[in-house]
Amino acid sequence: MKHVIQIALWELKQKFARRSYLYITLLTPLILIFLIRFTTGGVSDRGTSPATIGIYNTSENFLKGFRNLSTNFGTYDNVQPDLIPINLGTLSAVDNYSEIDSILAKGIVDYVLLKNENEFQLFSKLFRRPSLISKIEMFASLSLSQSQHGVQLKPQNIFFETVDVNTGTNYSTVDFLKNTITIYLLPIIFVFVVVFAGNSFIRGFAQERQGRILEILLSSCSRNELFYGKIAGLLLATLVHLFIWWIVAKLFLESDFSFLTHTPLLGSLFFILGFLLYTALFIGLSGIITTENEAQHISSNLSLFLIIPLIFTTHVIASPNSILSSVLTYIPFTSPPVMLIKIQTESYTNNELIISAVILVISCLLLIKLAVRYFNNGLENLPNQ
Amino acid sequence: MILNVINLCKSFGTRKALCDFSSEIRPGIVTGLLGPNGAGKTTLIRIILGIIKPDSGSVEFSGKSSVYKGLLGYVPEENALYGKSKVLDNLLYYASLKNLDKADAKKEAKNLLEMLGAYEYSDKYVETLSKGNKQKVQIAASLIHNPEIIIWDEPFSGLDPIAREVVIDLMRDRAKSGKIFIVSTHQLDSAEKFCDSFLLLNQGKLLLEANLAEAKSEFTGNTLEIETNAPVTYITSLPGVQGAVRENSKLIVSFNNQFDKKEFISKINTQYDIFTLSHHTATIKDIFFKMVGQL
Repeated sequence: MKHVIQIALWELKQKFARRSYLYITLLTPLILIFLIRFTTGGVSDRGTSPATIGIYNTSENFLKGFRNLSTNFGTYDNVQPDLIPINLGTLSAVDNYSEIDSILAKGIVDYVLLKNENEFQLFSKLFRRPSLISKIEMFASLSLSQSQHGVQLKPQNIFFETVDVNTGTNYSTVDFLKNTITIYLLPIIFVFVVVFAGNSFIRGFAQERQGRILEILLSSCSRNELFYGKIAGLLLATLVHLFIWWIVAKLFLESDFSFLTHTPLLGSLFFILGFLLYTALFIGLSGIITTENEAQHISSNLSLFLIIPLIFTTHVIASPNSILSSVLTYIPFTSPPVMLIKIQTESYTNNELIISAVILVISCLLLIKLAVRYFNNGLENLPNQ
Repeated sequence: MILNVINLCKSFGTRKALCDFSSEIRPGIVTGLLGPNGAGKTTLIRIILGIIKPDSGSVEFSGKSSVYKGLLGYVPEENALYGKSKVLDNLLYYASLKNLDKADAKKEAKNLLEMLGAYEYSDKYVETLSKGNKQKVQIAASLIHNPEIIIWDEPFSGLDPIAREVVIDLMRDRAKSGKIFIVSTHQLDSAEKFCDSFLLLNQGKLLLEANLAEAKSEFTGNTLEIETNAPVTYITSLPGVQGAVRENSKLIVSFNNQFDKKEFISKINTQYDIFTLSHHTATIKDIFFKMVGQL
C-alpha cells in the first residue's frame, strides 16, 4: 500500500511538471466561463420565436385563463405572447402518448400539456426552455386554481426544475443556448478528461518502458502496486483538475449549474466511476504497448471509442425516459455520460440510479481485474536493447 | 550470503532466452556478466530483479525463494530517470520505493553525488544533464539504499575516463564491504579491470563460470601474439588454429592441443613474413572470443 501511495504521489508530481497539464487546468475554466458568459450574453431568455403549446383535456375556462396569463405576462418582441396556447380537445385515451409524440414530431406545437384530473404532464422535444417551462407551470397552476381553489398542481415528466406553486416561480433564468451548453458540458468534460488522462498516461508509460524506468520501478515494487499506483496517480491528477474547475464553477457559474448545489455528490460519483472504468481500459492496454508510436495509435482509437457514448447523449436529452435512454444507463460504457445528463436534468428514477451505480461499480472492479492481468502479461515482454 | 540461481529457464515464444542456467554468485567480489547480444544476460538480470518470472527454476537469497526487492540496486543500460524532475527528486523517489527514510535518503544522496562529482547538479532537471552525468545519477540511485545485491548493466556508458575510475573504485569498495555485485558489460577491456570472476553466457546457456585470474592462466598457454603480413583468413586456415583476432598491428592467435608451433611458423614463412612472435597473456577478450567462437 505504501508503494501505491508513493507511486501515485509521484505520478501527480509528474503531471504538475508537464506544461500540458497546467494549460488544461488553467485554460479550461477560462473557456468554461467564456462559453457560459460571453457566447450566450446576447441571447434573449425568451428564445428566438414564440412557442406554441397544445393543451388537452381542459375546460374552456382553463384555456381562457391560460391565454390571458400568457398575453399579460411576457411578450415576444412586444407584439405577441411568447407562449401561444392551442386547444387540442380531448385525447382519445389518457395514455395515448403516440398521438402526443406525433404532434410534437411534426412540429405542430412545441409543447403539449395534458391534464388528467388534477395532474398535468408536460411534453416537449429537444431543447426545452426552462424559463418557459416554469411559466407554463405557473400559468397552468393559476388557471386551474381560478376554477378549483386549493388544488395543487403536480406536474409529471417535466424535465427541468419545477415551480413551487405555493410561492410562485423560483426558476433561475437560463436561456436556451446556455441551457444547452450547461447540459452537454459535463459529459463533454468527462470525455475530455478521460481522453486527456488516458492519452498522457499511455504515452508516458511507453516512454517509461522504452527508457527502462519501468525496470527500476519493477525492481522496487510489484506489478500490482505499480498498476494501482498509476491508476491512483491518474485519479488524483484528475481530481485536482476537477477541484479547481469546481471551485471556478461554484464561484462564477453556480446559477448556471444547478447540480453544483443540488447533486454534486451524485455527479461526482458517476464521474469518478466512469473515469476509473475508462482509465482501467487505458492502463490495461498500456501493458502491451512497447513504443510511443503504438501508444499514439491505440490512444487515438480509444478516444474515438469514447465519442460513441457522447453521441447517445443527444437522444437522452431529447427523450430521457425512453427505453433506449434507460438501457444506456445500464450499459457501463455509456452510463457515466448518460447519468451525468440525467442527474443534471433530474430525469432519473431512484431505481435507475441505484442499478446503474451498482453495475458501474461491478464493471469497474471486473475491468480493473482484467486490466491488471493484461498489464502484467504485457510486462513480461519488456524491450531489449 | 550467496545468491543462488537454480536451473533457470525462460522462453519468449519459441526463442529460448535462458536454458537451465545455474550459478552461485558470491558476495565480496565483482562478478562480470559477459556474452554476445542475445546471450540471455538481460533476461537473467530481469529474473534476479523480479521484473519477469522464469518458466522454471528459482533465485534464492538468504534462505528465501525470491529476493526482497528492497535489497536490490539496479542500473539499467538506458537512462532511466524522469527528465522533467530534478536530480535530487529522482533519487528521493527511488529511495522511497526502497523504503528509505527521506532524511537518510537526502544524506546518502549528497554523499554519493559528491563522490561521483555530480553534487552540483542536485537541483538541476535531469533532462538538462549530459549523458555521463545522468549515468552518475543512475549509479547513485542504485546505491542510495545500501543494497545487498547490486546489478549494473553497462555502467560506463557515457562516462569519461576519470569518472570511469571513480565508478570502478566505488564498485570495488561496495563489493569489499560484502555486497553481491554483478556487472553486465560489452566493454571487455574495462571488465578486465574490475571483474574478480565472471559468467560467460551464449544463447541462453552458461558457457563458463570462472575466477578471472584462474581463467587467464588457463587460457594463456594456448595463445600466441604475432606480428605478420599474413591475412587473418590464412592464419585461421592453418592446422591447430582455433581462431585469430586482430588487435592493433598484432594478431592474437588461439590454438588447440594438436597445434605444432614449428609447422605453424614455417607455413607462414613460405608465403609471408613474421615480424614478431611471443606468448600472449590471455585477456577476457580472448576468453570471450574463444568460448563464444566468434574468431
